[in-house]
Amino acid sequence: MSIITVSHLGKDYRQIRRIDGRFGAVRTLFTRQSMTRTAVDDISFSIEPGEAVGYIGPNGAGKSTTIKMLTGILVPTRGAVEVLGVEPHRHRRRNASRIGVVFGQRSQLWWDLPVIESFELHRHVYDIPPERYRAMRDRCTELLGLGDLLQSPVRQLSLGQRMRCELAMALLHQPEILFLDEPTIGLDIEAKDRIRDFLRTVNREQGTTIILTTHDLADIEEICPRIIVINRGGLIYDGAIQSLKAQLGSQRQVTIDFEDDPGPITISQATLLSDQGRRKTFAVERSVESTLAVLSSIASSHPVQDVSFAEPAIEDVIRTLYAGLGKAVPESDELDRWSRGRVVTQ
Amino acid sequence: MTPALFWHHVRLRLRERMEYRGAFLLGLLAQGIGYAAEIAVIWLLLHRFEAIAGWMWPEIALLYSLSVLTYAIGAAFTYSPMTELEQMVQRGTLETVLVKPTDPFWTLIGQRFNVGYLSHLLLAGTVMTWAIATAPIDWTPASVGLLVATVASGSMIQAAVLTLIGTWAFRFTRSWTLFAINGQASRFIRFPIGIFGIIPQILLTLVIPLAFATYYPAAILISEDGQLFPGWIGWLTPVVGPVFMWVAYRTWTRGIDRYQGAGG
Repeated sequence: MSIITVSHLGKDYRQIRRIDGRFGAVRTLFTRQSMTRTAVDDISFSIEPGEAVGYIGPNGAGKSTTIKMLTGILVPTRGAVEVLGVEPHRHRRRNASRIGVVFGQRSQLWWDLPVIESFELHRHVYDIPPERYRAMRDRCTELLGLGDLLQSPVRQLSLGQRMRCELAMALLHQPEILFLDEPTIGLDIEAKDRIRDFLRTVNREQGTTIILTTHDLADIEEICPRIIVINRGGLIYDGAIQSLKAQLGSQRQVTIDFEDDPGPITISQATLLSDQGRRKTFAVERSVESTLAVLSSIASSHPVQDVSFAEPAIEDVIRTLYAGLGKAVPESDELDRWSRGRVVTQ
Repeated sequence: MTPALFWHHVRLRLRERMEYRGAFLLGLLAQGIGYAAEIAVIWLLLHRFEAIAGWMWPEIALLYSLSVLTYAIGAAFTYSPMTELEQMVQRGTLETVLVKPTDPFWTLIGQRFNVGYLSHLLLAGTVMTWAIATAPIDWTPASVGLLVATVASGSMIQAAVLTLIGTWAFRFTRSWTLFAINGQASRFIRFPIGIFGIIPQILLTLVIPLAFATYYPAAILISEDGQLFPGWIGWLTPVVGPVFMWVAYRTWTRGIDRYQGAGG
């Protein structure tokens, strides 16, 4: 039985068209012209209890919009969403008591008060029995190393410390699903590691289902065995991260240091990626045979000093995925979505 | 949301404000000076002209104190959440309220309860005490009841007006202009409604029933005749507040639904 089912989900935003020129502001107020922009279009997937799923895509792809529909903040324009057996927007409050939500960019803690005050309020808002609250609070405190932080005003915490507290709070009522919208944004490596470790533990030991959006693909690699990739509102990949790598990350990088600059080298099975004279980097088919063939053919004509290999990074895989679909690159995406919008007058 | 949970929010808000005691006290002082100056101007005017539309200084003082007192109580609840709503919609912080299993209206009001109106309360309380001691009021159980009900109901009317303005933020931006207009409009109800034309009287009675927070009940207390509307409608005051507040709450909630549908 799936914990989340999404079928043919779509969301259009309607925006009032601003009119420029003379009396533009006044005319904008009285005009009925609006513009429809499709943020999410015909997305379907389902998630089983206990899964950890990374939801990724370039800026403006529709990630946050989907999360907002799953958490009941937004009402879908088309299609259906079911979370824990109910439609989230129709039963927003019932849904809210069974899920946890962490926004990387929006704090849910009381800024000027010690963290523990926000926790205590959370206990009352979610009506958590005292023993269960204490047990969960202590466990999160231990796993996330919160300790003295709970007594500090939130404004005195570093971003990493604050995010750890946000995470702990979202889990106090033991939600069945934890939604994380860019939980590691702006954090240093140590803070990221700590949060990733914690999320892995929560997912494995408590069986909490995790859905997370991120731009840091290391989050995904360390937490989520499955990824859903969307671009321009549509789903472009749903499956194991490993098989995506196998499908698209079929090349590896070979960097060769020559004894002397050999000049230009052309080999049919390798593509030159960078040329720094004595050091050249090639992209080569991932199989052992082709790697060896390329190496021996180069070594036979030029003396080689050192060789190193690099496996495809998840970033490269995702880049290949976006590029392979002929979709827009992230930077121009904003423009694209606008040109795609239909102007309707009502 | 239970009352206990609501007060838990308010308590945290108070403690948060107390973190900046200096700024808080300065704010109180500034507000207090502003209102005291206004009272002084009215007093000076009346000193010269004796009466406005037949209302003497103690009676005007009663009107004025009712206006400030109900505004202070109503605004303590709804001013901050409603003026900040536009920004919350733009920055997406409203979403943190929508993922909680509580009523968003009461959550916001509890979270943003404003204690800065303390100086209004002190000032209005002092003026009112003097006014009801001096003005020719026939104190019966009915008139005492009406005065108490007016403070409660009038506060709801004031809170409801701010709520309705806040609802505007879901749809259009620039709600601050409306708050500014309201700030000026609410000055009307500090004076006898008879000195204004017919249109302000109709607006303040039927459209935005602010006159029920001050003029109509005060007219009954000092046995003043009706103007455009008969004098007895002041007895409707205890009903007008809760009904108008309910309408405002429903409108606001529909605004939230629209926000969820349109996505801001």
